Amino acid sequence: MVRFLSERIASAALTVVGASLVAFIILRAVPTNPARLIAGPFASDDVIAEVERALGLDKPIYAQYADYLVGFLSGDWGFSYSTGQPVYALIAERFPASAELALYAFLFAFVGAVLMTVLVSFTRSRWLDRFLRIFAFVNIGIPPFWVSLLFLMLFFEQLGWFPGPVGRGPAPGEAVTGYYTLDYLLAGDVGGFWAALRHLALPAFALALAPMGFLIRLLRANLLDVTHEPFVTVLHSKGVAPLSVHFRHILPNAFLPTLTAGGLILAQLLGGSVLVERIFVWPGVGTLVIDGILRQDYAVVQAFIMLSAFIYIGVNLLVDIAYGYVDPRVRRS
Amino acid sequence: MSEPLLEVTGLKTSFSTPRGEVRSVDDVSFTLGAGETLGVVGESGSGKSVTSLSIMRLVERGGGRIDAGTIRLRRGDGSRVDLQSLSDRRMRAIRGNDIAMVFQEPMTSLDPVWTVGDQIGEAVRLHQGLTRRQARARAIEMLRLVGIPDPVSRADDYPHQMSGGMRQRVMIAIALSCQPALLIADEPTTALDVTVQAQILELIKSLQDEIGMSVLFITHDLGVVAEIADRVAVMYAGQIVEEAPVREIFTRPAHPYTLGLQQSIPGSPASSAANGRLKTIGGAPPDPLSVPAGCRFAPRCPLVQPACREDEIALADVGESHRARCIRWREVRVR
Repeated sequence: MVRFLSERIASAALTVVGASLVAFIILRAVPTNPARLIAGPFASDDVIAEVERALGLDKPIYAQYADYLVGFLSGDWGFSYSTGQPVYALIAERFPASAELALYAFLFAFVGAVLMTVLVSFTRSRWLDRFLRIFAFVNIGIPPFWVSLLFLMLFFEQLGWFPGPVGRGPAPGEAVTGYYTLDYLLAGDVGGFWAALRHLALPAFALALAPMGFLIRLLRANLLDVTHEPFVTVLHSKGVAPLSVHFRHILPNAFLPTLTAGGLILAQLLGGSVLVERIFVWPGVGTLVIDGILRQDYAVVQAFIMLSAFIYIGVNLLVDIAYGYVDPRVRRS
Repeated sequence: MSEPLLEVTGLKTSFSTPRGEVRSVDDVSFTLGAGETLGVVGESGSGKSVTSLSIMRLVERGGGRIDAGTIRLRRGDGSRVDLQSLSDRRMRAIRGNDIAMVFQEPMTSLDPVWTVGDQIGEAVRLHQGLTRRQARARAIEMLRLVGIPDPVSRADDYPHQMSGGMRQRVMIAIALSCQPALLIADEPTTALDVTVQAQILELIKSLQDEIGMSVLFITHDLGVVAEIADRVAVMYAGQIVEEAPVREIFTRPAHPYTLGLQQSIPGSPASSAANGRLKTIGGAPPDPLSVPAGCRFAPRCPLVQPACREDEIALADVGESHRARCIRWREVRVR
C-alpha cells in the first residue's frame, strides 16, 4: 500500500510540473507583451523596458519559469493590473464561494445519482428503471443556465420557497473558513446555517442536474454489466440474500468508473461555473476569470489555470487512493 | 435401495426469447441416491445446465420459468421438501447448505474484490452462524482440504492472484464448506487444462468419499463420465433419452444417440468396433423453437422408421434400472 501511494503521489507531482509548463508556455506564446499592456499604449520604450525588468521578463526563459513556479508555490501569484490587487488575495476571497457551491452541487449529484440508481437496480422494476433513464437523459440535455432561470421563476417568483438571485446571503459574523454553512455551524448559529443552505439550494441543484444524469447512466450501465457476471449466480447458489449480493458484491464491482467520473466532475465544479454564478450573482471565481480574460488580465487567468490543474490533480490523486481501497486489483498491480 | 436424496419428476423449464418460448427442459425425471454420482451427458443446449439451475431455482434470474414438475429433496433431518413450493427465504437456506454448486468458469466465478478466504467464509457464516474468526478458520481448513498449499496466507489472496485450477479448487472449497448432501458440478473441468482436469476430478471423488455426499455431475464429456459416475443420464434436446448404470451405457447402449456419442470418441470400445474409423452423427440438434414431433432424434437417426415420427416416444424400461426413449432399442448394437 505504501508503494502504491508513493507511486501515485510521485505521478501527481509530475503532472503538476507538466501542467505548470503548459500554462507557462501558453501565456508566453500569446503575442501581447504584458509590459506594454501594463505601461499603456503611449509609454516609451524605456518605460516598457523598465516594466519588463520589474516583471522579470528580461531574464532567460528557464529563469522566468523557475521564478513563476517558486512564486506560485509561495503564494505570489502576481498582480491583477486591472484591479491593482494581488491575484492571490482576489482568488482567495472568491474561491470559497465557488468551492462551497461546487461541493454542495457535487453532493447532490453524486449521492443522489448513487442512491437512486442503486435502489432502482435493486428493485429490478422495469417501470422505475425506465423512469430513471428518462430522468437522466433529460438532466444531461438541459443547460444549467436555463434550469437556473426555471428554478428562479418557479421556486422564487411563484412559490417563494427559496431566496432570489442575491448571492450567498448574509455573511457570518466571523469568517473562519470562508464557507458560510461551515462558519455558521462553527458559530453554533442554526438559523444562519439554514439561511446559507437556502441560498445554496437553487444554484447547487441547477449545477448538479447534468452531472447527476451522467453519473446515473454510467452507474446503471455498470451495475447491469456486473449483474450478469457469473460470480453473481455463484453468490445466489451459495444462498446469499439478494440485498447482500447487491450491496456487498455487485456495487463495489460496479463502482470504480462512477468514482473516477465523480472525481472529474468534482474538479470541474470546483473551477466555478460562469453562467450559473452570473445568474445567481454568486461572488465566485467563475466571474473573476471571465473578467480577467476579457480585460487580458494575464496574472489572474494564469493563476486560475494553475489552480484548476492543482485541483484536478489533487482530486484525481484522492480518487486513485480511493480506488486502491475499493479494488484489490488496482492496489496490487 | 433406501429413499433417494433427490427426486426430480416431470420437470419442465422454459425461457422467453425474442423469437418465442423455448422449452429447454421437457419432462425430465430422475432420482439420485445418497452418496451416488449421476452423470448427466449431453451437448450444448441439451438442457443439462438448465436442469441443474432449475433444481437450485436459479432459472428466474436468467429469464427462465419452471412450468411443471416437482423437485423433492430429503434433508439432513429426514424430512422431505418440494423445492418448488418453498418460500425464497427457505430456498436460500437450502442453497449452499443442503445443495451446493460448482460452475464451469473458475476465472469469472469469484467476486474479484473479496479475498478467497472471505468468499469461502461467507456461506459458512450465513448457514451455520459462525463468527468472522471461526469462518476464517473454516476457510483455511477448506483450502487445505482442497489441496491448496500454504492455506493460511492463501486465504488472504484475491482471485486474480490465483490460477484457473486453484480458483476451481477454491470454488469446490466454497461449495463443500457447509458439507452439502448434494453437490451439483456443472462442467467443472471444461475450462481447465487436461492435467488440471484430472486433478479436479480426483479431488471431487476423494472429497465425495470423505463427506459422503451425492454428486450430480454435468458434462459433455463421456470420458469424464466413465471416470466419475455410478449412473448416467444422456440428454438430447431437453429430454433424457437414456439412463443406465455407467457400465451398461458403454456396453449395452439402448439409444442410437448414446451409441453415436460413443462412436465419435477416439479409442472408445464403440469406435474401435467400427474398424477404427470415427463415426460422426450427421446433422445438428433441432432448433429449440421447433422440435420435431415424435422422436426428437429421428431426423439424425440411422434406425429411423415412420412410427418414430408420429407420437412422442416414452422413456421405457429396457433392462434393470435401464431406461431408454427408443422404440427400436433392441436393434442398437455396439458394432
